[in-house]
Amino acid sequence: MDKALSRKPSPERRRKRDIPKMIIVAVLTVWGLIVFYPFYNSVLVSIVPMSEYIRQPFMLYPPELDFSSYKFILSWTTLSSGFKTTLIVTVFGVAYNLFLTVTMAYALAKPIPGRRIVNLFVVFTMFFQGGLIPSFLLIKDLGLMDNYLAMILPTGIGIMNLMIMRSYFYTIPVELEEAARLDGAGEFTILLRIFMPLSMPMLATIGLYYCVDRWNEWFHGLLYMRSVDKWPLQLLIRNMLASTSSITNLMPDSVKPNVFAQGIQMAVVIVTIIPVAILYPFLQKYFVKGLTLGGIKG
Amino acid sequence: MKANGKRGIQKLLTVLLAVGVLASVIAACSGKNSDSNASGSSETPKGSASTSASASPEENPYKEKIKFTISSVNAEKAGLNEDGSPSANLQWLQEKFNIEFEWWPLTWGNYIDQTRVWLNSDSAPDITMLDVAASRYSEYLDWVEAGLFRPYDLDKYPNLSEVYNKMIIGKKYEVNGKLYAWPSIVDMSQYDFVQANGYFYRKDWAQAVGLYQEDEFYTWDEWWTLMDAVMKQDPGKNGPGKTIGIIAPSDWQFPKFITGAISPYLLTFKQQEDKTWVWGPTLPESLEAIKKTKELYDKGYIWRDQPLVKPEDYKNNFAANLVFAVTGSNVGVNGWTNDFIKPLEAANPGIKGEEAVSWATVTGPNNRLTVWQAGDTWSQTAMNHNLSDEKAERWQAVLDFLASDDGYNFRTFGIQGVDWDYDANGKVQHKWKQDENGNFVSPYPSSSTWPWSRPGGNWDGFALLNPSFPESIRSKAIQAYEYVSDPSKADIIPMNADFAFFTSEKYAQATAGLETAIYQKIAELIPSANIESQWTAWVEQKAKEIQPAIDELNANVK
Amino acid sequence: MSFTAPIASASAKELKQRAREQKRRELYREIRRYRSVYPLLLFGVAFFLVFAYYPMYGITLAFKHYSIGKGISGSDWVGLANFTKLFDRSEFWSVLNNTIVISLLKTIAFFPAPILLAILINEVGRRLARTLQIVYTLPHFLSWVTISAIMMNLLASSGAVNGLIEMLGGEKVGFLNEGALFRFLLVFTEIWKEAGWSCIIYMAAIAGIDQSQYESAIIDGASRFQKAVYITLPSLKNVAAILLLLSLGNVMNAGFDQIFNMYNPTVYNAADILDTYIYRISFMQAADYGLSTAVGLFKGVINCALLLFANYIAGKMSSESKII
Repeated sequence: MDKALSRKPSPERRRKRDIPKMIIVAVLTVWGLIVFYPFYNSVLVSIVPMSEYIRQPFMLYPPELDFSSYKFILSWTTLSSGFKTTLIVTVFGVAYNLFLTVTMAYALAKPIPGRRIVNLFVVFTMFFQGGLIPSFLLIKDLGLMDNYLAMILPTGIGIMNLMIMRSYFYTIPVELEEAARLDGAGEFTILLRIFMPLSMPMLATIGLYYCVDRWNEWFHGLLYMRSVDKWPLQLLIRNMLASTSSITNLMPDSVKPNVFAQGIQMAVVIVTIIPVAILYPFLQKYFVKGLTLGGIKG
Repeated sequence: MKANGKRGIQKLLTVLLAVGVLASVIAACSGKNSDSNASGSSETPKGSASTSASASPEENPYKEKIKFTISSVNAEKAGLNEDGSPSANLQWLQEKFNIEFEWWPLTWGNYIDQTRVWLNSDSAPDITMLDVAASRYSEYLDWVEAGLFRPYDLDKYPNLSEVYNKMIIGKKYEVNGKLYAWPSIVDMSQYDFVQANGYFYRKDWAQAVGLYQEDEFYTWDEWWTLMDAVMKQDPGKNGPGKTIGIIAPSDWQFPKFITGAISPYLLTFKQQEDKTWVWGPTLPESLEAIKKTKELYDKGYIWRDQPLVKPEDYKNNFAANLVFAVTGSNVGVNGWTNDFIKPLEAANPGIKGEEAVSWATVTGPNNRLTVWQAGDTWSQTAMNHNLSDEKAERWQAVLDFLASDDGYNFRTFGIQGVDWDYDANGKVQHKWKQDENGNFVSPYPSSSTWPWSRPGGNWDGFALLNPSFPESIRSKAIQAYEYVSDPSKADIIPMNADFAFFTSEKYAQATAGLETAIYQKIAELIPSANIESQWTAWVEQKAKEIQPAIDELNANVK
Repeated sequence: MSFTAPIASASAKELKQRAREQKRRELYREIRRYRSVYPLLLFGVAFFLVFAYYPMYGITLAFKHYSIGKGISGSDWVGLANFTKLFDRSEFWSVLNNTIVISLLKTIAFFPAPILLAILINEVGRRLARTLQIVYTLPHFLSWVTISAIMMNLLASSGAVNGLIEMLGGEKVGFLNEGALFRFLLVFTEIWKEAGWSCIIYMAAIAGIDQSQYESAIIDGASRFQKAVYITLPSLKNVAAILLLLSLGNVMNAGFDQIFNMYNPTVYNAADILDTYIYRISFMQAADYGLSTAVGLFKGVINCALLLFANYIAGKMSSESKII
């Protein structure tokens, strides 16, 4: 990608007014604004008082500032438990996901007999699932209702990620392996000491993919978590979107009247976006690498 | 050698893994049979000590502390004051019976679905809140048949029996002579159990346009004339097009408040003079009702977003001084105060809620009220089938108290001796603090009390007797109930219990989600053009599908 | 000659047997050779066994009538009755129609967007490109819960867009409660969310294009546009084809997360898809899990067939492109 971008137009070109390029820049900027505007709108809604918003919901800048939505949100203790739950699920979930994915991908990258059967075995599950009730009963029988594990264990392996990892492992030269084996290393050691260091970028990428998935998860929380303080973040947002009274009912009267539903909703949304928005630009290059390696090689 | 050591570890790992996989598969297989499952109950009964609760009267029957898992809507703050400290009334109750509640909270948005999932997978709590409306009755029967509930022992509990005998609809929850779900009574017998439909409205705006009526009894024409004047003159000073005429709080209330006056049977089945049954939407007046609703919607009297309504929309918009009227299916004094008056005052200092908000009773186009007799119960409470005898007896003892007269006073007014007491004449004397208007201020937030009070019975006549609400409001509410139960003003459609609770497999299949489908269809049609042909087409096609239901009714409900 | 013939006829069977035995011996040798790899496989396999295959007995519900007391294993078999009931319901066909239409609309509309973006971004300076990319890719990382909250606030009749429309003198538009508009919304928000992310793949492909092609084109006097059409686009062909085929195998899915979080009863008839339908039957109505499982099974079968078909086509293009 850098190669293409570092191409500079030749000197003669630069002197002429590059109209096509200006149009291109304009188009791209407009699209950028379109992508950006909904977020901007949400920020605005969360920092204006109710009267202003009701009067004119379309704003280019805040006519008046009112942070009571944020004050309200920050005193909503369930939000912090939501963050905590999601953090737990993400950290342990990703570790769990990666462990399963890496071991299985490594094994499948070797020309072992039965490889194709296992492939089929895995892909089959993409199409046919038992359904909500058996999964629900399974979690119940394992005694995991209302347990964080119920949000972690079922997420297992993402099949696309498995394929990507496996493709990557294909590319590791056999000679390295042979050398290690001559030294008497077992499979697990080879995986740990040779393959993994070599695939750090890939691991980071897949790990980040899983991170995004775990962070955004809500469906398992909906099914299996009973206590409100174990609900993941996205589930809280979802419930709050459906009915803000689920929060406002629990707040003392003194805080209640100044806030309005849309203000609170957008405040929660912004608060939960911020961690992601701050982190992801730094991780951009890993994602890019993962996509390119995985996407093209398939 | 190092290599062999590593190989050895690997072998061990392999074996452990294989065993682990095998074990989990076996464990999973043995758990398949749902009958052998322990359900969501939190602890096994402490069977060692007290052999039975019917110990000799001198002994404290509540020696063992018992914990109950219990589900309820809005239970997050059950038993807690606003500052998080435990509420004295629940503490008192828990001490008296030596129990502790562990709450499984639900929301109004998910309580039916979530409870359904729990029950269908036999993982319900010890005590389950149910809302078995007539439309979900067959589901309830399935649950009873599956053995999910433990029957109540009414004979042992005198207060429960007494209250039970007052009910009509409540008895429907009995199956084969056993009661599987305790119904919470709504004691409105003095008003014939009639539902008071009407509007919470801005009486100050009505006064401003000069069309206010002191008796707050409006005819159809008077009401829409008033509406028109308010929308045009904008007494709320919101700016053109900003004022909202009418909002209905939830999707099932729209468009009943308009169509109910023209086609009362729109959402259900009607039994004709000759005793045959027809489906409401096929009646000609149903199309008229919808057209009328659309007319009013197009005129802008109904909120544009009504088809998309969310639960707090009515409250927020009303508080923002934007709404003229909110439909109500009952005059709840509690709601009147907490959903309308207080938020309005808080958001608009200078407005006095009691003078701004009132209740309007509005007739249909025929200048009479068309009202339905409602059930005498709302919501039920069930015991999990796997409760031990000890636990079941303890719970029923608690319930027996809550349902008694003393219990009623406790639920509504608080602890005897502390919050109230009987005076020399046996009347209730309140001891709560009073605010500057002379209204009593309850030390217990309703969010703290309601979850455990509801099983004992719904608050009386919608709080008509509760002293913490102003007299002026309560008397207006009573007036509204008097209107709707007055045969000279109202046509009362009596409750047909046989029909309401009739169910059979074919009927249940044919009518599953039917009422919802109807009002969703209407919500969909109202904003669009050309509703007559769309409605007729839809009704025709649906009528064919539900023909079995009509056949069943004709055969079984005479 | 005479002594080859008896060997040939007498041991034709023996030869076959010997060949089979040899194969078996080779197989065992291979297995022994990789015997320490298998344990590593077991973790993943265990996961699939427990969480994917064990619950699969629930698929039998598609052929049963579920009764809570009897549990899944004990419920009665009803053969194809659930399917008959399903196909009789008019709403099923409307749901199926929605699923296909929405999937197709999304695929067709979405397809050119990342390609176009990649080509355009390719033409601007590095710093601008990077900034743009950061903006474009943000929505990809957010959940549909979050995005639907943002969008619904923006497009509600009391929201900013309608506020703008009214300010300009127009009448409010019901984005969220008119079927056709809502479908458009689904497609548009999908592009809004994912185009920036998908274009990264294309940009990587563009980076892999041999620069000398461009240089010779410049010498020949080719314009920007011509370069894009005649050099860039063709090299993206393979990647595009694979992505397109992959999405073919996904037609029956149509985006549960997105639709579930954004829809409401007024647009059920236009936006209810198989997955949301399954959810509604499972949760929001009295238990008819036989029916919802039947829908799920139906969906799985079709998806599987479609993916196999896509795989076949991909294989025809180049043997490396096969997905399975």
